[in-house]
Amino acid sequence: MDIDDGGSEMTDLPRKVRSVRIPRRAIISFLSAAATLILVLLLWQVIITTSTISTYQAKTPIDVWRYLFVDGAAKPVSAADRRADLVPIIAVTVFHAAVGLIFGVTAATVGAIVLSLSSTARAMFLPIALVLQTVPLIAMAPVIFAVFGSGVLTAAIVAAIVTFFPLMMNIRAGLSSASPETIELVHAYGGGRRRLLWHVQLPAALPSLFAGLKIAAPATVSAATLYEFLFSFEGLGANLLTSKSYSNYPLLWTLVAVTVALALAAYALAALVERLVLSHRYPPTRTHPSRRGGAS
Amino acid sequence: MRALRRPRARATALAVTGVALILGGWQIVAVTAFTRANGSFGAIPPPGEVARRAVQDLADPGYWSGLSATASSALIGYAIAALAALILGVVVMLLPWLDDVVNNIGVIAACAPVAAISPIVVLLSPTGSRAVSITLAVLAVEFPMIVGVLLGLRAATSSQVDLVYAYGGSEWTAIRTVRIIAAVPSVIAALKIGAPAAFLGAMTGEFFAVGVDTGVGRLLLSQQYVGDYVGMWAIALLATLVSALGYAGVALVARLSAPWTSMTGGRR
Repeated sequence: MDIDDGGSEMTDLPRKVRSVRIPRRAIISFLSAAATLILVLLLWQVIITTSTISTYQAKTPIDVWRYLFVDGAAKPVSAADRRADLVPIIAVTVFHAAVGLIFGVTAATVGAIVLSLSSTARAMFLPIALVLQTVPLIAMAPVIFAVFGSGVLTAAIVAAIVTFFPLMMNIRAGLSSASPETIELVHAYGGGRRRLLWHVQLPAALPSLFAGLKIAAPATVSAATLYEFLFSFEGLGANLLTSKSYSNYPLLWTLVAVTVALALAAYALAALVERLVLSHRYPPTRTHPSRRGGAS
Repeated sequence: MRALRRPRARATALAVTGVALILGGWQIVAVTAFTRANGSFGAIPPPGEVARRAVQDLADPGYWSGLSATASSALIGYAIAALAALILGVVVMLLPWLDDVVNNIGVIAACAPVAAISPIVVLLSPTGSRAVSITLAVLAVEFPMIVGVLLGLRAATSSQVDLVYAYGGSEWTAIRTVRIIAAVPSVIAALKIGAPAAFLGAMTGEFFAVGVDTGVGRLLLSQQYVGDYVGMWAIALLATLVSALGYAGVALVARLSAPWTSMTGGRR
Protein backbone atom coordinates (compact mmCIF):
# COMPACT_ATOMS: atom_id res chain seq x y z
CA MET A 1 0.00 0.00 0.00
CA ASP A 2 1.33 3.37 -0.95
CA ILE A 3 1.13 5.53 2.10
CA ASP A 4 3.00 8.68 1.21
CA ASP A 5 0.80 10.26 -1.41
CA GLY A 6 -2.37 8.40 -0.55
CA GLY A 7 -5.50 10.22 0.44
CA SER A 8 -4.01 13.55 1.37
CA GLU A 9 -6.87 15.94 1.92
CA MET A 10 -5.56 18.23 -0.79
CA THR A 11 -5.72 15.77 -3.66
CA ASP A 12 -8.85 15.27 -5.69
CA LEU A 13 -8.58 11.52 -5.95
CA PRO A 14 -11.87 9.80 -6.57
CA ARG A 15 -13.56 8.42 -3.46
CA LYS A 16 -12.99 4.79 -4.37
CA VAL A 17 -9.25 5.16 -4.73
CA ARG A 18 -8.95 7.15 -1.57
CA SER A 19 -10.89 4.71 0.54
CA VAL A 20 -8.41 1.93 -0.23
CA ARG A 21 -5.41 3.81 1.08
CA ILE A 22 -4.61 4.91 4.57
CA PRO A 23 -5.32 8.63 4.77
CA ARG A 24 -2.41 10.77 5.94
CA ARG A 25 -4.66 12.19 8.64
CA ALA A 26 -4.95 8.71 10.19
CA ILE A 27 -1.19 8.27 10.23
CA ILE A 28 -0.67 11.66 11.88
CA SER A 29 -3.24 10.96 14.56
CA PHE A 30 -1.73 7.51 15.17
CA LEU A 31 1.75 9.00 15.52
CA SER A 32 0.54 11.75 17.84
CA ALA A 33 -1.31 9.20 19.97
CA ALA A 34 1.89 7.16 20.24
CA ALA A 35 3.87 10.31 21.09
CA THR A 36 1.38 11.26 23.80
CA LEU A 37 1.51 7.78 25.26
CA ILE A 38 5.30 7.80 25.39
CA LEU A 39 5.20 11.28 26.94
CA VAL A 40 2.80 10.13 29.67
CA LEU A 41 4.84 7.00 30.43
CA LEU A 42 8.06 9.06 30.57
CA LEU A 43 6.43 11.58 32.93
CA TRP A 44 5.23 8.74 35.15
CA GLN A 45 8.71 7.18 35.22
CA VAL A 46 10.47 10.50 35.91
CA ILE A 47 8.05 11.61 38.63
CA ILE A 48 8.41 8.33 40.54
CA THR A 49 12.18 8.05 40.20
CA THR A 50 12.85 11.67 41.20
CA SER A 51 10.36 11.79 44.08
CA THR A 52 11.16 10.78 47.63
CA ILE A 53 8.28 8.32 47.87
CA SER A 54 9.35 4.81 48.79
CA THR A 55 9.86 2.55 45.80
CA TYR A 56 8.04 -0.12 47.77
CA GLN A 57 4.77 1.76 47.25
CA ALA A 58 5.43 3.75 44.10
CA LYS A 59 5.94 1.70 40.95
CA THR A 60 7.09 2.82 37.53
CA PRO A 61 6.01 1.71 34.04
CA ILE A 62 9.08 -0.58 34.04
CA ASP A 63 7.81 -2.28 37.22
CA VAL A 64 4.43 -2.81 35.56
CA TRP A 65 6.18 -4.26 32.51
CA ARG A 66 8.17 -6.60 34.79
CA TYR A 67 4.98 -7.64 36.60
CA LEU A 68 3.32 -8.50 33.32
CA PHE A 69 6.17 -10.06 31.36
CA VAL A 70 9.19 -11.03 33.51
CA ASP A 71 9.20 -14.40 35.26
CA GLY A 72 10.03 -14.25 38.96
CA ALA A 73 9.40 -10.51 39.33
CA ALA A 74 6.38 -10.98 41.59
CA LYS A 75 4.48 -13.57 43.53
CA PRO A 76 3.10 -16.14 41.11
CA VAL A 77 6.55 -16.90 39.68
CA SER A 78 5.45 -17.31 36.10
CA ALA A 79 4.49 -14.05 34.41
CA ALA A 80 2.05 -16.00 32.25
CA ASP A 81 0.19 -17.04 35.43
CA ARG A 82 0.02 -13.42 36.56
CA ARG A 83 -1.40 -12.38 33.19
CA ALA A 84 -3.87 -15.27 33.25
CA ASP A 85 -5.09 -14.10 36.68
CA LEU A 86 -5.89 -10.69 35.22
CA VAL A 87 -8.05 -11.98 32.36
CA PRO A 88 -11.21 -12.86 34.35
CA ILE A 89 -10.97 -9.58 36.28
CA ILE A 90 -10.80 -7.57 33.05
CA ALA A 91 -13.61 -9.64 31.54
CA VAL A 92 -15.98 -8.72 34.39
CA THR A 93 -15.33 -5.00 33.93
CA VAL A 94 -15.60 -5.23 30.14
CA PHE A 95 -18.95 -6.99 30.60
CA HIS A 96 -20.23 -4.30 33.00
CA ALA A 97 -19.06 -1.47 30.76
CA ALA A 98 -20.32 -3.04 27.52
CA VAL A 99 -23.78 -3.82 28.90
CA GLY A 100 -23.91 -0.32 30.38
CA LEU A 101 -22.96 1.23 27.07
CA ILE A 102 -25.60 -0.80 25.20
CA PHE A 103 -28.29 0.21 27.74
CA GLY A 104 -27.14 3.83 27.65
CA VAL A 105 -26.96 4.14 23.86
CA THR A 106 -30.32 2.41 23.35
CA ALA A 107 -32.13 4.53 25.94
CA ALA A 108 -30.45 7.71 24.71
CA THR A 109 -31.38 7.00 21.07
CA VAL A 110 -34.99 6.28 21.96
CA GLY A 111 -35.12 9.41 24.13
CA ALA A 112 -33.59 11.56 21.40
CA ILE A 113 -36.03 10.24 18.78
CA VAL A 114 -39.00 10.90 21.07
CA LEU A 115 -37.73 14.43 21.72
CA SER A 116 -37.25 14.97 18.00
CA LEU A 117 -40.67 13.60 16.97
CA SER A 118 -42.84 15.33 19.54
CA SER A 119 -42.58 19.07 20.07
CA THR A 120 -44.66 18.70 23.23
CA ALA A 121 -42.23 16.18 24.73
CA ARG A 122 -39.39 18.48 23.71
CA ALA A 123 -40.93 21.50 25.43
CA MET A 124 -41.64 19.46 28.54
CA PHE A 125 -38.40 17.58 29.04
CA LEU A 126 -35.66 19.41 27.13
CA PRO A 127 -35.10 22.03 29.87
CA ILE A 128 -34.59 19.32 32.49
CA ALA A 129 -32.35 17.28 30.20
CA LEU A 130 -30.25 20.38 29.51
CA VAL A 131 -29.65 20.78 33.23
CA LEU A 132 -29.04 17.10 33.92
CA GLN A 133 -26.51 16.65 31.11
CA THR A 134 -24.17 19.09 32.86
CA VAL A 135 -24.44 17.21 36.17
CA PRO A 136 -21.78 14.47 36.29
CA LEU A 137 -24.05 11.80 37.71
CA ILE A 138 -21.05 9.61 38.56
CA ALA A 139 -20.88 11.50 41.86
CA MET A 140 -24.33 10.07 42.61
CA ALA A 141 -23.19 6.43 42.28
CA PRO A 142 -24.02 5.67 45.95
CA VAL A 143 -27.61 6.83 45.37
CA ILE A 144 -27.92 4.70 42.22
CA PHE A 145 -26.52 1.77 44.20
CA ALA A 146 -29.07 2.36 46.96
CA VAL A 147 -31.90 2.22 44.42
CA PHE A 148 -30.76 -0.78 42.40
CA GLY A 149 -29.01 -2.75 45.12
CA SER A 150 -26.09 -5.04 44.48
CA GLY A 151 -26.57 -7.32 41.54
CA VAL A 152 -24.93 -8.58 38.39
CA LEU A 153 -26.20 -5.62 36.42
CA THR A 154 -25.98 -2.75 38.90
CA ALA A 155 -22.55 -1.68 37.66
CA ALA A 156 -23.96 -1.66 34.12
CA ILE A 157 -26.97 0.39 35.26
CA VAL A 158 -24.68 2.93 36.94
CA ALA A 159 -22.70 3.13 33.69
CA ALA A 160 -25.88 3.52 31.62
CA ILE A 161 -27.33 6.28 33.81
CA VAL A 162 -24.05 8.18 33.87
CA THR A 163 -23.85 8.24 30.06
CA PHE A 164 -27.56 8.68 29.27
CA PHE A 165 -28.04 12.45 29.32
CA PRO A 166 -24.88 13.56 27.50
CA LEU A 167 -25.47 10.91 24.82
CA MET A 168 -29.14 11.78 24.38
CA MET A 169 -28.40 15.48 24.00
CA ASN A 170 -25.69 14.73 21.45
CA ILE A 171 -27.93 12.45 19.39
CA ARG A 172 -30.78 14.96 19.59
CA ALA A 173 -28.55 17.74 18.32
CA GLY A 174 -27.58 15.45 15.43
CA LEU A 175 -31.20 14.55 14.60
CA SER A 176 -32.07 18.23 14.30
CA SER A 177 -28.98 19.05 12.23
CA ALA A 178 -30.48 18.08 8.85
CA SER A 179 -30.73 21.11 6.57
CA PRO A 180 -34.19 22.58 5.90
CA GLU A 181 -33.61 21.99 2.15
CA THR A 182 -33.19 18.25 2.69
CA ILE A 183 -36.27 18.10 4.85
CA GLU A 184 -38.30 20.00 2.24
CA LEU A 185 -37.03 17.64 -0.43
CA VAL A 186 -38.37 14.63 1.47
CA HIS A 187 -41.70 16.39 1.97
CA ALA A 188 -41.84 17.42 -1.69
CA TYR A 189 -41.53 13.78 -2.73
CA GLY A 190 -44.31 12.83 -0.38
CA GLY A 191 -42.12 11.34 2.32
CA GLY A 192 -43.61 11.17 5.79
CA ARG A 193 -42.21 11.62 9.26
CA ARG A 194 -40.84 8.09 9.42
CA ARG A 195 -39.05 8.33 6.07
CA LEU A 196 -37.54 11.65 7.12
CA LEU A 197 -36.28 10.12 10.35
CA TRP A 198 -34.87 6.99 8.74
CA HIS A 199 -33.31 8.43 5.60
CA VAL A 200 -32.35 11.94 6.65
CA GLN A 201 -32.25 12.52 10.38
CA LEU A 202 -30.61 9.31 11.59
CA PRO A 203 -27.75 9.46 9.04
CA ALA A 204 -27.32 13.15 9.85
CA ALA A 205 -27.09 12.26 13.55
CA LEU A 206 -24.20 9.80 13.09
CA PRO A 207 -21.35 12.32 13.55
CA SER A 208 -22.75 13.65 16.80
CA LEU A 209 -23.64 10.12 17.93
CA PHE A 210 -19.98 9.18 17.56
CA ALA A 211 -18.85 12.42 19.20
CA GLY A 212 -20.98 11.38 22.17
CA LEU A 213 -19.79 7.76 22.05
CA LYS A 214 -16.14 8.77 22.24
CA ILE A 215 -16.83 10.22 25.68
CA ALA A 216 -19.51 7.71 26.72
CA ALA A 217 -17.48 4.55 26.01
CA PRO A 218 -14.61 5.41 28.39
CA ALA A 219 -17.13 6.90 30.84
CA THR A 220 -18.86 3.53 31.14
CA VAL A 221 -15.50 1.95 32.06
CA SER A 222 -15.03 4.68 34.64
CA ALA A 223 -18.53 4.27 36.08
CA ALA A 224 -18.33 0.47 36.16
CA THR A 225 -14.96 0.45 37.94
CA LEU A 226 -16.14 3.08 40.43
CA TYR A 227 -19.14 0.92 41.25
CA GLU A 228 -16.95 -2.17 41.56
CA PHE A 229 -14.53 -0.29 43.81
CA LEU A 230 -17.19 1.03 46.16
CA PHE A 231 -19.78 -1.71 46.30
CA SER A 232 -18.68 -5.04 44.86
CA PHE A 233 -16.04 -7.74 45.11
CA GLU A 234 -15.34 -8.33 41.45
CA GLY A 235 -13.88 -6.58 38.45
CA LEU A 236 -10.95 -4.18 38.11
CA GLY A 237 -12.42 -1.70 40.57
CA ALA A 238 -12.75 -4.17 43.43
CA ASN A 239 -9.28 -5.60 42.77
CA LEU A 240 -7.76 -2.11 42.80
CA LEU A 241 -9.14 -1.80 46.33
CA THR A 242 -8.07 -5.25 47.57
CA SER A 243 -4.58 -5.09 46.06
CA LYS A 244 -4.11 -1.77 47.89
CA SER A 245 -5.37 -3.13 51.21
CA TYR A 246 -3.10 -6.19 50.86
CA SER A 247 -0.20 -3.87 50.03
CA ASN A 248 0.34 -5.74 46.77
CA TYR A 249 1.69 -2.63 45.08
CA PRO A 250 3.05 -4.19 41.88
CA LEU A 251 -0.43 -5.59 41.23
CA LEU A 252 -2.09 -2.28 42.19
CA TRP A 253 -0.04 -0.29 39.69
CA THR A 254 -0.55 -2.93 37.01
CA LEU A 255 -4.31 -2.75 37.57
CA VAL A 256 -4.17 1.04 37.38
CA ALA A 257 -2.36 0.82 34.04
CA VAL A 258 -4.77 -1.85 32.77
CA THR A 259 -7.86 0.15 33.81
CA VAL A 260 -6.64 3.35 32.18
CA ALA A 261 -5.63 1.36 29.08
CA LEU A 262 -9.10 -0.20 28.96
CA ALA A 263 -10.77 3.23 29.04
CA LEU A 264 -8.43 4.54 26.35
CA ALA A 265 -9.08 1.42 24.27
CA ALA A 266 -12.82 2.11 24.56
CA TYR A 267 -12.18 5.62 23.28
CA ALA A 268 -9.96 4.36 20.47
CA LEU A 269 -12.53 1.74 19.45
CA ALA A 270 -15.27 4.39 19.26
CA ALA A 271 -12.95 6.63 17.23
CA LEU A 272 -12.03 3.76 14.90
CA VAL A 273 -15.65 2.77 14.26
CA GLU A 274 -16.44 6.43 13.68
CA ARG A 275 -13.70 6.67 11.09
CA LEU A 276 -14.79 3.47 9.34
CA VAL A 277 -18.47 4.42 9.26
CA LEU A 278 -18.15 8.09 8.43
CA SER A 279 -15.27 8.01 5.96
CA HIS A 280 -17.54 6.55 3.30
CA ARG A 281 -20.45 8.84 3.92
CA TYR A 282 -19.08 12.25 4.72
CA PRO A 283 -16.22 14.47 3.77
CA PRO A 284 -13.39 13.45 6.10
CA THR A 285 -14.25 15.66 9.02
CA ARG A 286 -12.95 15.02 12.45
CA THR A 287 -15.59 15.28 15.12
CA HIS A 288 -14.66 16.54 18.50
CA PRO A 289 -15.77 14.47 21.41
CA SER A 290 -18.67 16.04 23.19
CA ARG A 291 -17.61 19.09 25.12
CA ARG A 292 -19.93 18.58 27.99
CA GLY A 293 -20.94 15.72 30.09
CA GLY A 294 -17.46 14.45 30.78
CA ALA A 295 -18.64 11.86 33.21
CA SER A 296 -15.28 10.76 34.48
CA MET B 1 -46.41 41.77 21.20
CA ARG B 2 -48.98 39.29 22.32
CA ALA B 3 -48.13 36.96 19.45
CA LEU B 4 -44.52 37.02 20.61
CA ARG B 5 -45.37 36.37 24.20
CA ARG B 6 -47.74 33.49 23.78
CA PRO B 7 -45.36 30.85 22.44
CA ARG B 8 -43.01 31.68 25.28
CA ALA B 9 -45.81 31.35 27.83
CA ARG B 10 -46.74 28.01 26.25
CA ALA B 11 -43.12 26.82 26.44
CA THR B 12 -42.91 27.80 30.10
CA ALA B 13 -46.19 26.07 30.86
CA LEU B 14 -45.01 22.90 29.14
CA ALA B 15 -41.65 22.99 30.92
CA VAL B 16 -43.44 23.33 34.24
CA THR B 17 -45.74 20.46 33.23
CA GLY B 18 -42.64 18.37 32.48
CA VAL B 19 -41.18 19.01 35.93
CA ALA B 20 -44.57 18.31 37.50
CA LEU B 21 -44.87 15.01 35.58
CA ILE B 22 -41.43 13.90 36.75
CA LEU B 23 -42.13 14.88 40.35
CA GLY B 24 -45.54 13.18 40.16
CA GLY B 25 -44.05 9.99 38.75
CA TRP B 26 -41.32 10.10 41.38
CA GLN B 27 -43.93 10.55 44.12
CA ILE B 28 -46.02 7.62 42.86
CA VAL B 29 -43.00 5.30 42.56
CA ALA B 30 -41.74 6.34 45.99
CA VAL B 31 -45.06 5.79 47.72
CA THR B 32 -46.18 2.61 45.96
CA ALA B 33 -42.92 0.70 45.44
CA PHE B 34 -40.43 2.08 47.95
CA THR B 35 -42.37 2.66 51.15
CA ARG B 36 -41.96 0.03 53.84
CA ALA B 37 -44.88 -1.49 55.72
CA ASN B 38 -44.15 0.68 58.76
CA GLY B 39 -44.42 3.84 56.65
CA SER B 40 -40.68 4.66 56.51
CA PHE B 41 -39.18 5.46 53.13
CA GLY B 42 -37.00 3.14 51.06
CA ALA B 43 -34.33 3.73 48.46
CA ILE B 44 -36.49 6.23 46.52
CA PRO B 45 -38.08 8.61 49.03
CA PRO B 46 -40.81 11.02 47.86
CA PRO B 47 -39.60 14.38 46.49
CA GLY B 48 -41.31 16.47 49.18
CA GLU B 49 -39.54 14.49 51.88
CA VAL B 50 -36.17 14.98 50.12
CA ALA B 51 -36.74 18.73 49.75
CA ARG B 52 -37.76 19.05 53.40
CA ARG B 53 -34.64 17.19 54.48
CA ALA B 54 -32.43 19.33 52.23
CA VAL B 55 -33.81 22.50 53.81
CA GLN B 56 -33.36 20.96 57.26
CA ASP B 57 -29.75 20.03 56.36
CA LEU B 58 -29.01 23.62 55.43
CA ALA B 59 -29.80 24.68 59.00
CA ASP B 60 -27.06 22.30 60.19
CA PRO B 61 -23.56 23.90 60.24
CA GLY B 62 -22.06 20.43 59.62
CA TYR B 63 -23.50 20.44 56.13
CA TRP B 64 -22.22 23.92 55.43
CA SER B 65 -18.70 22.89 56.43
CA GLY B 66 -19.06 19.76 54.27
CA LEU B 67 -20.21 21.76 51.25
CA SER B 68 -17.48 24.35 51.70
CA ALA B 69 -14.76 21.69 52.16
CA THR B 70 -15.75 20.07 48.88
CA ALA B 71 -16.18 23.42 47.17
CA SER B 72 -12.71 24.60 48.19
CA SER B 73 -11.08 21.43 46.82
CA ALA B 74 -13.13 21.91 43.66
CA LEU B 75 -12.02 25.53 43.37
CA ILE B 76 -8.33 24.64 43.68
CA GLY B 77 -8.68 21.92 41.04
CA TYR B 78 -10.68 24.25 38.81
CA ALA B 79 -8.00 26.94 39.00
CA ILE B 80 -5.19 24.47 38.28
CA ALA B 81 -7.07 23.02 35.31
CA ALA B 82 -7.86 26.45 33.86
CA LEU B 83 -4.27 27.63 34.23
CA ALA B 84 -2.88 24.43 32.72
CA ALA B 85 -5.31 24.68 29.78
CA LEU B 86 -4.29 28.30 29.12
CA ILE B 87 -0.59 27.42 29.18
CA LEU B 88 -1.14 24.41 26.90
CA GLY B 89 -3.25 26.57 24.57
CA VAL B 90 -0.51 29.19 24.25
CA VAL B 91 2.05 26.42 23.68
CA VAL B 92 -0.07 25.06 20.81
CA MET B 93 -0.32 28.54 19.27
CA LEU B 94 3.48 28.85 19.38
CA LEU B 95 4.19 25.25 18.33
CA PRO B 96 1.19 24.20 16.18
CA TRP B 97 2.51 20.66 15.63
CA LEU B 98 1.78 19.96 19.32
CA ASP B 99 -1.96 20.41 18.66
CA ASP B 100 -2.77 16.69 18.51
CA VAL B 101 -0.61 15.85 21.52
CA VAL B 102 -2.29 18.49 23.69
CA ASN B 103 -5.73 17.31 22.56
CA ASN B 104 -4.72 13.75 23.41
CA ILE B 105 -3.66 14.84 26.90
CA GLY B 106 -7.14 16.29 27.33
CA VAL B 107 -8.71 13.04 26.11
CA ILE B 108 -6.62 11.03 28.57
CA ALA B 109 -7.71 13.33 31.40
CA ALA B 110 -11.34 12.86 30.39
CA CYS B 111 -11.07 9.08 29.94
CA ALA B 112 -8.96 8.12 32.97
CA PRO B 113 -11.26 6.12 35.28
CA VAL B 114 -11.55 7.67 38.74
CA ALA B 115 -11.25 4.28 40.43
CA ALA B 116 -7.80 3.82 38.84
CA ILE B 117 -6.40 7.30 39.48
CA SER B 118 -7.69 7.74 43.03
CA PRO B 119 -5.93 4.82 44.78
CA ILE B 120 -2.51 5.91 43.57
CA VAL B 121 -3.14 9.56 44.48
CA VAL B 122 -4.16 8.39 47.96
CA LEU B 123 -1.06 6.19 48.10
CA LEU B 124 1.28 9.03 47.17
CA SER B 125 -0.29 11.75 49.34
CA PRO B 126 -0.26 11.98 53.15
CA THR B 127 -3.24 10.73 55.17
CA GLY B 128 -5.92 13.38 55.51
CA SER B 129 -4.86 15.20 52.36
CA ARG B 130 -7.55 16.36 49.97
CA ALA B 131 -5.27 15.71 47.00
CA VAL B 132 -7.65 13.09 45.50
CA SER B 133 -10.52 15.56 45.40
CA ILE B 134 -8.33 18.20 43.80
CA THR B 135 -6.92 15.73 41.26
CA LEU B 136 -10.35 14.45 40.22
CA ALA B 137 -11.60 18.04 39.92
CA VAL B 138 -8.66 18.82 37.62
CA LEU B 139 -9.32 15.73 35.50
CA ALA B 140 -13.04 16.50 35.24
CA VAL B 141 -12.39 20.04 34.00
CA GLU B 142 -9.22 19.71 31.94
CA PHE B 143 -10.65 18.41 28.67
CA PRO B 144 -13.50 20.92 28.24
CA MET B 145 -11.04 23.66 29.25
CA ILE B 146 -8.46 22.62 26.65
CA VAL B 147 -11.11 22.39 23.92
CA GLY B 148 -12.52 25.78 24.93
CA VAL B 149 -9.14 27.50 25.09
CA LEU B 150 -7.97 26.14 21.72
CA LEU B 151 -11.28 27.01 20.09
CA GLY B 152 -11.02 30.50 21.54
CA LEU B 153 -7.41 31.19 20.64
CA ARG B 154 -8.24 30.20 17.07
CA ALA B 155 -11.34 32.38 16.98
CA ALA B 156 -9.36 35.50 16.04
CA THR B 157 -9.95 36.26 12.36
CA SER B 158 -6.99 35.80 10.06
CA SER B 159 -7.08 39.50 9.11
CA GLN B 160 -6.61 40.45 12.77
CA VAL B 161 -3.63 38.13 13.09
CA ASP B 162 -2.25 39.27 9.71
CA LEU B 163 -2.37 42.86 10.91
CA VAL B 164 -0.17 42.00 13.88
CA TYR B 165 2.30 40.26 11.58
CA ALA B 166 2.21 43.18 9.11
CA TYR B 167 3.34 45.54 11.86
CA GLY B 168 6.24 43.26 12.65
CA GLY B 169 4.65 41.42 15.55
CA SER B 170 5.39 37.78 16.30
CA GLU B 171 2.94 35.00 17.12
CA TRP B 172 3.55 35.83 20.78
CA THR B 173 2.43 39.44 20.10
CA ALA B 174 -0.63 38.11 18.30
CA ILE B 175 -1.46 35.91 21.30
CA ARG B 176 -1.11 38.79 23.74
CA THR B 177 -2.95 41.42 21.72
CA VAL B 178 -5.53 39.62 19.61
CA ARG B 179 -5.99 35.95 20.41
CA ILE B 180 -6.51 36.29 24.19
CA ILE B 181 -9.37 38.74 23.64
CA ALA B 182 -10.92 36.59 20.91
CA ALA B 183 -10.68 33.58 23.23
CA VAL B 184 -12.78 35.10 26.01
CA PRO B 185 -16.25 33.88 24.89
CA SER B 186 -15.35 30.23 24.44
CA VAL B 187 -13.10 30.17 27.51
CA ILE B 188 -16.07 31.47 29.51
CA ALA B 189 -18.29 28.78 27.97
CA ALA B 190 -15.75 26.15 29.08
CA LEU B 191 -15.48 27.70 32.54
CA LYS B 192 -19.27 27.48 32.91
CA ILE B 193 -19.32 23.78 31.99
CA GLY B 194 -16.29 23.20 34.20
CA ALA B 195 -17.80 24.57 37.41
CA PRO B 196 -20.34 21.76 38.05
CA ALA B 197 -17.83 19.18 36.81
CA ALA B 198 -15.19 20.40 39.28
CA PHE B 199 -17.56 20.27 42.24
CA LEU B 200 -18.82 16.77 41.49
CA GLY B 201 -15.27 15.62 40.66
CA ALA B 202 -14.12 16.82 44.08
CA MET B 203 -17.11 15.05 45.61
CA THR B 204 -16.22 11.78 43.85
CA GLY B 205 -12.66 12.12 45.16
CA GLU B 206 -13.96 12.02 48.72
CA PHE B 207 -15.23 8.47 48.12
CA PHE B 208 -11.58 7.42 47.99
CA ALA B 209 -9.87 9.81 50.40
CA VAL B 210 -8.31 8.28 53.52
CA GLY B 211 -8.41 10.21 56.78
CA VAL B 212 -10.69 12.89 55.35
CA ASP B 213 -13.96 13.22 57.23
CA THR B 214 -15.42 16.44 55.86
CA GLY B 215 -17.14 17.01 52.53
CA VAL B 216 -20.40 16.09 50.84
CA GLY B 217 -18.91 12.90 49.39
CA ARG B 218 -18.08 11.64 52.91
CA LEU B 219 -21.57 12.66 54.11
CA LEU B 220 -23.14 10.75 51.22
CA LEU B 221 -21.15 7.59 51.98
CA SER B 222 -21.76 7.75 55.72
CA GLN B 223 -25.50 8.03 55.14
CA GLN B 224 -25.31 5.14 52.73
CA TYR B 225 -23.67 2.99 55.43
CA VAL B 226 -26.53 3.66 57.85
CA GLY B 227 -29.20 3.36 55.13
CA ASP B 228 -30.47 6.94 55.50
CA TYR B 229 -32.00 7.17 52.03
CA VAL B 230 -33.77 10.50 52.51
CA GLY B 231 -30.47 11.98 53.66
CA MET B 232 -28.66 10.58 50.61
CA TRP B 233 -31.16 12.05 48.17
CA ALA B 234 -31.08 15.35 50.05
CA ILE B 235 -27.29 15.44 49.63
CA ALA B 236 -27.56 14.58 45.94
CA LEU B 237 -30.04 17.46 45.60
CA LEU B 238 -27.82 19.90 47.51
CA ALA B 239 -24.73 18.86 45.51
CA THR B 240 -26.61 19.39 42.25
CA LEU B 241 -27.79 22.80 43.45
CA VAL B 242 -24.28 23.87 44.48
CA SER B 243 -22.85 22.76 41.14
CA ALA B 244 -25.64 24.62 39.33
CA LEU B 245 -24.81 27.68 41.48
CA GLY B 246 -21.21 27.33 40.30
CA TYR B 247 -22.42 27.45 36.70
CA ALA B 248 -24.63 30.45 37.42
CA GLY B 249 -21.84 32.17 39.37
CA VAL B 250 -19.40 31.91 36.47
CA ALA B 251 -22.12 33.11 34.10
CA LEU B 252 -22.80 36.13 36.33
CA VAL B 253 -19.13 37.07 36.66
CA ALA B 254 -18.80 36.69 32.88
CA ARG B 255 -21.79 38.92 32.25
CA LEU B 256 -20.47 41.64 34.55
CA SER B 257 -16.85 41.55 33.41
CA ALA B 258 -17.27 40.71 29.73
CA PRO B 259 -20.83 41.71 28.83
CA TRP B 260 -20.33 41.09 25.10
CA THR B 261 -20.07 37.35 25.76
CA SER B 262 -23.44 36.97 27.45
CA MET B 263 -25.11 36.00 24.18
CA THR B 264 -22.56 33.33 23.32
CA GLY B 265 -21.30 30.11 24.63
CA GLY B 266 -24.24 28.94 26.69
CA ARG B 267 -25.56 25.89 24.99
CA ARG B 268 -26.27 25.22 21.42
